[in-house]
This record gives sequence, structure tokens and C-alpha cells, in this order.
Amino acid sequence: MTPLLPIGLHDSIAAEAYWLNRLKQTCLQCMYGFGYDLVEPTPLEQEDKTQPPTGESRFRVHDPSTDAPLVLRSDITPQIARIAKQHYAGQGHPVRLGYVGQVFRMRASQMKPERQSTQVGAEFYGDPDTVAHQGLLEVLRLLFWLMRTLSVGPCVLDLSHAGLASRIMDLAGLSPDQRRAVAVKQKPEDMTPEGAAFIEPLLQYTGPKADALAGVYPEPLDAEIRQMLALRDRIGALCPDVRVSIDWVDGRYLSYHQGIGFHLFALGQDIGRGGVYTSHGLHGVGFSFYLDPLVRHAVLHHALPPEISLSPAADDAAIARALADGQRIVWG
Amino acid sequence: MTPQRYVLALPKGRILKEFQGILTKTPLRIEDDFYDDACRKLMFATNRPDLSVIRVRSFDVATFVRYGAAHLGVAGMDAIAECQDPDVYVPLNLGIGACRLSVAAPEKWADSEKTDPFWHATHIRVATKYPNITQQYYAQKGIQAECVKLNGAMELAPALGLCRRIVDLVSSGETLRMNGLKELETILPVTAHLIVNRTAYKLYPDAMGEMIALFQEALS
Repeated sequence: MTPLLPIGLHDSIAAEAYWLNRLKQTCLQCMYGFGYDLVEPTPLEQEDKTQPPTGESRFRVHDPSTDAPLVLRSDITPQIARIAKQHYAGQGHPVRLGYVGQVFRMRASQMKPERQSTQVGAEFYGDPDTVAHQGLLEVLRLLFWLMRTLSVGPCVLDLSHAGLASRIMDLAGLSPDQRRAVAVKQKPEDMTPEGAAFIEPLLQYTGPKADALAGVYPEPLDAEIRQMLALRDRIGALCPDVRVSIDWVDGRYLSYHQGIGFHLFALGQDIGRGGVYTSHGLHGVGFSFYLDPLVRHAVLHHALPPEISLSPAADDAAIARALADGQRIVWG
Repeated sequence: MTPQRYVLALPKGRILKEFQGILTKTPLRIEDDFYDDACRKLMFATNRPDLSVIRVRSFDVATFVRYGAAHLGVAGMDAIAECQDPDVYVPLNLGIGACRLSVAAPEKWADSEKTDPFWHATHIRVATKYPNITQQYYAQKGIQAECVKLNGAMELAPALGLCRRIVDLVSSGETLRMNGLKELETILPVTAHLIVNRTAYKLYPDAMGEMIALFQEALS
């Protein structure tokens, strides 16, 4: 009997494999064209104990040649920071890297039963100021460009700022439980009326009402709030086909994001994420998304190349014409 | 960006009866079949062409909303806390279906350290429908809780030797008393809340905001 595949892992075949490879190629070409060097990190590497844990559980294997444990990546972003540091250090100008690769999670969940995904992402490294201004806008433009090229349809970009919300909650003296409640839009219980009134705007003024938060909190918080609103408007002006919103508190942050972060919603899902971070001593900003839902969407909604029937005796010119026209040969 | 139709998941049973009181104060009306217990339909039309209602088990409301199969729902805080998912937003306490999630034990073992010869201060077996909440509650006390997942008749479990504690919803406490159990501590006060799928909240903020406001106004 053929052994079963491990739970949560699957082979891609036929139309799914076609779209997976075609979309991977589209992403790589788009990122390369945008000025991002392509990198292909090794899927297995020694665990870097100097870096904070990512929170994702990873497969570990024993390396018999060194006796060291190796980990199978569950996220490519930290590897890109390592590569930027090892191979691109001291360039004196921003480093731009793009990648596509498979990642593996050790544990599946009811919500995320797959343990393998194809991750796509781009990272921009530079000095903190360049990262926060030029880098953030640039990676977002690239992300939207990718989404347009991949034909995912209408997108919503939701901005958030981990530090800002956290400082407002510090001022209100919220406990860890109360912070968890705020992260899911729940009014924290056991609060004084003053505390509840202080937190209320943070919960209420999100999305279309985000502008109302300007002038609510004291400086320097208010200046940062206004900066976020201005950033939202700048991104909106740069990419008019994307709706940009702000959610001041969103619990779904990657552990390494600090400051401004974002989520991209499309195809009825939370499809991509990114933000500003520090890793391996580098200041970076980037995004990543999983290709898998886009592949499923393409299989269902996009047409495969048209077919042309050719006899096995067809000459090279006929084959060349068919391939140049983007047709698929069916051998008669 | 508008889906064809939004879906509101409502729970069968006790919460639904109390929720009807709130519903009548909103302009929202659900087709008559919804109130007919004999009707086997599971999806119902409303007087809003863009809104359907589904009727599912109370615990499943959170699951439907979590997966985005329903955009909004009404669920008890017990089910919401058990699913522990940051993708389930909890914007409004409806204040109905009030009860509490409590830990209970047979009268004779209520004061465990003194009366239970098999009491271990670091490990306990608990029968419950809420393994996540139970494990967290005991972990905070430094106790490893081994949960036996049951979906009903929890009160039988200690008497039949399945466990030494149960964690279950308590309303009046009568069922516990009838079965020789003593309520030891409240883990979580429970009321029903309006919940919203996080993605729906971001993709359709106007529609979700309107629905939240609809029920908020009915409560005030």
C-alpha cells in the first residue's frame, strides 16, 4: 500500500500545479522588475538562538554530520534578514530582496489545517527613516502591483500601529486580560467609568470613523495619530484602486512587527500582512502572503491556456507558433 | 465591495428566546418559519434582502463566525472564550442569557486537600465542554488539568468516577444540587454577545457597523 501523505501536506497536480507555478513565476518577475533582488534561502537551517522566537512551531531534524538540531522554516522573513546581513551589509543604500518559497508548520489547527504553504514576500532594509517613509510606501506599491497582476480583485489595506495602541492602553492602566478584550473590540470589564470613557474612542473610531480619533488623546499620541491618518491618505492617493483603512487595535500582529503594520484583505480573506520591524540588527519593512488561496481562486476562476491539436509529425515551426501564441499542445 | 448577502448566525434554545425580545425592538424581521420549531429549514430570509439568518447550535455560532461562513452571530461568552480566536470580534454585550461558567465538585471532595485521598495538588481530571478555558484556569493555579470532553450530563461524571471536578455552565445551581455537587468558584460570568468576523469587519465596515448600531440602539 502507498504510504499516506503526512497530515496537512499535499501534492499539487494538474491545474493546481499549473497555477501554483505560473503565479510563483508572475510574483518573481514582478518583484525582480520592481528592483528587488531575488533570493532563495535554504529551507533547512540551524536554529538561531540569538533571534526571538517567531511563535510558529517548526519541524526539527537531527543533523548526523554535526549532531546539531536543524529547523525547517515556518516563515521566510527572518531568513531574508539574515541574508541581507550576511550578503548585503555595508552597501550604503537600501537593500531590496524578494522571494517565493515553501514553509512548513509543525502543528495544524482547526482553522489552519494545512501544514505547508507557499510564501511570497519582499523586504526593504535601510536606515530607520528611509525604511519608515520610502520603504513602507514602496513595498505597499509593490504589494498592490502584485495583487493587480495576480488579478485578485478589490483589496482593502488595513493599517495599524502596535506601539501607539499599547501606549494608549498603558495610560488607561489596562491589565493583560483587558488588553486582550480591546484587541477583539470588546469593552473591557471592571473598569472605572473614566477608564472606559478613555478607551472607548480607540474601540469606536476605526475604519471609516478613524478620523474622529484626531484630537482625542494628548500629545505626543495625537501627533502620531495624525501621522497615521496622513499616511493612510498618502497610500490612498498613491493607489486609488485600494481602500485604505485604519484599525487602531488589531490583535493579529506578527511577533516581530513594531510600529506600523498592515493587513491586506482580498478574496474575502486576510490575505497578506507586513510592517516595520528590526531583525538581525537591521531596520526593515516588508510584506508576505501565502500563494495558496490565490492558487485556489485561479483554479476556480481563471481559464487555462487554449489548446491546439498537433500531429506528432508537426514540424518545429508549428510547435514554435503554438508556444509563442501561449497555446498548449494536445498531441493527436 | 459588497457580498451578495450577509449571514447572521443565531443560536437555538435559551439565548434565542431572550434574543427575540431585542429583535422586536429593531426593524429587522425574520421569516415566520424561523420561529417554527418543527420547521427543518436552517437558513431563513429577513426583511432585508442583503441579510440571511442561520439557526445553529449555540456553540457552533462562534465556529461559523470564526471561519467567516457567517459574518455576524450571537453567542454566549462561554463559547466565545473557548474558541479563543482573535478573528472573532466581540463588539456588543447583549446582556441576555446570563449565567456563569463554574467549577464544581462532589460535596464530599469540595475541600479536596482534607477529604480527597487521591488529591494531587499538581494534576486533576476535569469533565467539561470547555477544555481550553479549563486548562487555562487550572494552569494559573499551577495545576495540570486533564480534560475529559463531554457535551452534556456533566454532573454525572464525578459520581461515576470519571473525574473529580466538572467545569460547566451554572444558572440557578439546581442541577448541581440535585446531583450532590457543590459550586466552588466562578471562572467566567457569561452573557450573550454580538460577534463579528474580523475579515467581514474590515471588508464591509459600513454594513457591519450598521448591524452593530441596530442592536446597540435596541438595547438602549
